[in-house]
Amino acid sequence: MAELVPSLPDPQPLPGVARLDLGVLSVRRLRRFGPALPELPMSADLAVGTAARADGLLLAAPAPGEWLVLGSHSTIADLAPTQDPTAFLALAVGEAHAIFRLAPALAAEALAAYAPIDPASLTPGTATRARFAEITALIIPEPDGSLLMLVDAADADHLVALLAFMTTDP
Amino acid sequence: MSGYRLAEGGRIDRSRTVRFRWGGQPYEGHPGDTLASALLANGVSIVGRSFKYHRPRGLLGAGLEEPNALLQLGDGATTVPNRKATEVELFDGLSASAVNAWPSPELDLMAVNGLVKRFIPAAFYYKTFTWPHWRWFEPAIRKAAGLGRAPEAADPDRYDQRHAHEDLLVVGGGLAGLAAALEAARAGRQVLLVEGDALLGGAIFGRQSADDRAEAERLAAALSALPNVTLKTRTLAVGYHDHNLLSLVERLTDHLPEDRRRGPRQRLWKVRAGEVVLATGAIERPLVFDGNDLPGVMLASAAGLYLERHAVAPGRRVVLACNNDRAWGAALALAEAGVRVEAILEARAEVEPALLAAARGAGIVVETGTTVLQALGRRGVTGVRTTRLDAQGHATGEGRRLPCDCLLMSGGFSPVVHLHSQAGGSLGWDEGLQAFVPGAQPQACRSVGAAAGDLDLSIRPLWHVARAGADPSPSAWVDFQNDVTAGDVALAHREAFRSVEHLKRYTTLGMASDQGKTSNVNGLAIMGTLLGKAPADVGTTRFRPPYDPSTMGAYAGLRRGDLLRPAAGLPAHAAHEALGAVFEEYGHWLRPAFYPRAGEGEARAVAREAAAVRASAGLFDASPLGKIAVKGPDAATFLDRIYVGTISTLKPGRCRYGLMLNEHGILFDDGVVARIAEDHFLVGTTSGHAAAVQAAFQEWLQCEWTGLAVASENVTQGWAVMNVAGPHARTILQSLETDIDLSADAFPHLAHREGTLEGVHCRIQRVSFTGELSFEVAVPTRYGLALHARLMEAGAPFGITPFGVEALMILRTEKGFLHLGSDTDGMTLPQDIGFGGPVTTKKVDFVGRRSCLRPDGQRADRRQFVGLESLDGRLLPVGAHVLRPGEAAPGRSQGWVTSSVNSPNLGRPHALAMIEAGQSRLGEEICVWDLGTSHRARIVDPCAFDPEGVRMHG
Amino acid sequence: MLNIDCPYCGPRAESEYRCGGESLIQRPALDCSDAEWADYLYTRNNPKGVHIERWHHVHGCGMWFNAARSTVTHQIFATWGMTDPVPELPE
Repeated sequence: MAELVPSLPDPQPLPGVARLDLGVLSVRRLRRFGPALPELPMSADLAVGTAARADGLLLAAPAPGEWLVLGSHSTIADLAPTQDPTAFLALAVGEAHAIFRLAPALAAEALAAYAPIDPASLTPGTATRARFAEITALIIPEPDGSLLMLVDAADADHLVALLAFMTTDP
Repeated sequence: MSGYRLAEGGRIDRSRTVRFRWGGQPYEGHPGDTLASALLANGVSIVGRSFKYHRPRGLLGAGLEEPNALLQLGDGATTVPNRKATEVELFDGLSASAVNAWPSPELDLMAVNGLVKRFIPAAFYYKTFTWPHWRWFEPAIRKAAGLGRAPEAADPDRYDQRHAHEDLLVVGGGLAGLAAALEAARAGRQVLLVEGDALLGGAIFGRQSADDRAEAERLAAALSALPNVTLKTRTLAVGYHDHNLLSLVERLTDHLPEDRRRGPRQRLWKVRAGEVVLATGAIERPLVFDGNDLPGVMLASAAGLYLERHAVAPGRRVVLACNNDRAWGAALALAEAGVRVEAILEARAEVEPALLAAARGAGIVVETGTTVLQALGRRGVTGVRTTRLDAQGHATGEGRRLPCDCLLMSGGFSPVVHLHSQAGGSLGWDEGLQAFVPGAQPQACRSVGAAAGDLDLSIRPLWHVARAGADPSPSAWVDFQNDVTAGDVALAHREAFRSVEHLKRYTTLGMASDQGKTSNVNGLAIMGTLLGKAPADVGTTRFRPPYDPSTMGAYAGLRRGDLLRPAAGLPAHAAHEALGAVFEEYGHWLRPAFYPRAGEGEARAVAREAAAVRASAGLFDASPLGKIAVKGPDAATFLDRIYVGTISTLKPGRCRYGLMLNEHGILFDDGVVARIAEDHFLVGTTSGHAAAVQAAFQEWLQCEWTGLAVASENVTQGWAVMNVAGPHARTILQSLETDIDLSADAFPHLAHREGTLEGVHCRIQRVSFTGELSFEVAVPTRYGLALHARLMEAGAPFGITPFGVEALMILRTEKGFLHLGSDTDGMTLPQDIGFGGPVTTKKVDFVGRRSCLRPDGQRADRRQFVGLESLDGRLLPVGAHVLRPGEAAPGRSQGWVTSSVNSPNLGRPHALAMIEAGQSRLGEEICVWDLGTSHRARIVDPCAFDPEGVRMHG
Repeated sequence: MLNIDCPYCGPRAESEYRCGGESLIQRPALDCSDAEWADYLYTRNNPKGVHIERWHHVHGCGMWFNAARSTVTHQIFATWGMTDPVPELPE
């Protein structure tokens, strides 16, 4: 029998909304406020609430002792075992998440419609976990004005429905 | 009253005509009219009937303070009850009719209520219509006293919501608000100014109205030109919440003809402001005298607004009764526009000479130290009886009779302090204004203009007109909308409901949809005169949002239908759909309840599935079961503190059933824990509960056991999990490509293995909720659909049957396996379900342990988890109570049935229950009672099928 | 709708958080009396004034932290990490 074939979600669920197929590495320090830093580019300089690009990867620090890395599936798979197992829990969690890119025109309106956070705090270089309607999203603004949003996989359809509702003229 | 349109003036577009219907009759108005101004212009005098007594009523005000002109707007699914005619912008094709009047306000058959008025004062329902029972009379009374009707279809309109963060929010686009906004904008602030009306400028009336209008336009133009200013009209601030958050309702399409409406109907703004300026103005108070609710009696400022804005005169023979300077402006402006103003009845003894001269010049007779004793007329005012006032403000001496068809009244002005108060601000009493004004304000907010009490009134207080020693009159209205009279205030006082809060609730004064905007201060001040207290000492009731009635849709926004509580689909949803699954929401997951074949109902399908699993094999989508990765040198220590049982002794590659309590000892979650490595565990939780368990873990680690080196992560959604269960489960799995040794010796029950299956990473656990040989196969989510198909294919030779949650419930009930939330509740302790051992013997403390050791937890008669055999072969109802045999209800319940199924595998029903001391009563016959029906049953072991667990351990 | 300054994320709307009730409560040892255990579970201060309480930033960083809030005006005087010392507070 042949290998199982993966089912992939629609990469363009709406105009202005792209769904990205990326690997995600979640790294959590075993001691929340300990000194250890993961083996990731620039992890030493990444303050809580910031994001940076390095070596084709997008790194984010959403909370103390937590790092998220977005990249290709193979890169992420290779990266997981390189983290010190006595200091970190490092898991490839891409399957548990859905990643979207919102076009600039849509981004500002989506935030105004659904997120109580002050959009002035969402500047390129930030990585912000915040409330979006009834769900939690990691929001990473890009220099070109588009918005990356990382949500739980189970919330993906709901997020698309929210964005569709916003853009649909009744 | 006979209002009419003046030939000139107003802010209306006379070049265009707007056609509308009122009470079924066709009328015309102009763009710029409200429904109220158009009705007034058309000479319509009776616009409604009062709430309780069905008295004919005309327009009292011109804005959102209007208490009388309540109407039903439109029809069908978009009909709106109880809209104020003064707030409805006229549009072509508008159709409306008065509420609470049948067949029309002019001829209202319910006016009979007025005949029995003296028997139905305030609070009559506490004292009358009580025998034999209030319920006999309630429907008729409620029907007689109704207002509008709610639409019966779902609201088809769409409502938006928006968050905004502003530097400075100015509430109110009158002169004070515009000026404050401009000053701040020129100083470089970012400013949002919101105005509830369609036009900027605020309450412009009186003799300076032309100058005021020009000033407003100049300010608005200056503001519009600035890039750091946003102006929004038709946007009303309705709530002031914590930390400078305000809710605003923006009306987007209500003013348009129905066929031109596009997009959302209204938008709710939630604005967090750095600073707020409240420029909300002031509302005029009526005078309280007999007959003051007759059509034709109107607030002076309202007449001024109808004149300035709509070029409408309120009547042909106008008299003004007042106690302050500001009211004179309306009368003088009317006279200047050519309206016949007969007289000004001024309560003060002295008036500024300039005003007297102006009145004289306009041919208006002025009587000082005089007011209205009574307005005369039946269906509209026809005249007034005047009275002189003594130094104490009591009616005295003889007055005279004065004909008129319009009586303007002004008892003073109350600054609109609602938002200031909602924000937590206190109020002070301004003796010179005879009004409550804003006091201390804890939030970053200040009031300006009339809202701050910046008014020139020179007022003399006159709270109600009565002779010395006379009681406040039951024919003098205070709250027009709820039909509360001065006599009702006196009634409350007589019956000892004297605090302002009791006055409100006992009489319902201030409780109507206008929330007492024209009545609260008069009412509390009248109570003050009865108590010998100043209004400041009587105080006000609490101000609550919304400031003006707001449509429910605006608050709901998108949270309706599919967007209200979205249920997530399973990774293999498409497969379940293709198999004809009937879906149900279980928690926030949409899961197959059962898979009916052609001609099958639920009961047949579920029974067939449950039988098929035990006969050969079944396939169940177990993806929603929670999975939490727990890792660190202290992981085992941590889990020992979390679970009732001991986890640290678990060997890598093995699983153990675990029970978690909350600190009250109550069962919180259960699941299978697997040990991946010395420092690495995979915690299983009940479906849909993973987030709550993860949150509990983090709370303990962050708040209490902060020294432990443990990280936890909810990985539930990263895996699609298919459960293959039944005698042929192993054989089916062994037909797939895998490096995992599935044989019985290599892979015992409660073991955990990792490897590759059909080319993809795979985790398999031998755990069983069905009681059959059972494998839970987990692959990364994206392979879930393919795995399901491959398993169906591999299982086809064995007749593998997809089964849903309902069949699973039958199987686990047959086995007596606990289901948290079904068999347990908020009082169930571990000792109640047979897990009391660790409570006394475990070496370390765990969450909830101490609570289990309390005296109540040690009672011998606690309800315990048992099975029930139905002795008459009938299904025992879930929730049925346990009584002693022969005991009839009502009796003392000894517990109840928690789960109950018709078992195809047993060929009879089987139930589970929580029964007092149940474990020591096995074999006892009891009675089970539910809604009048009794059943005989016997207490048995929960497990009725394969008690040795031979199948599961195979 | 409070605006709460999370020590890790900055000011956010109250809807991002869950309140965890009074803070600085000591969990008794297993051998405590029934009264002490009941006190731990049920007895809480109810001040008119400064209340020291825990908040959980559910829709954010996921961290627990402490806050000192006035129960009268809802003014929040300070927020600080779960294991950090209590700062100077008004009466």
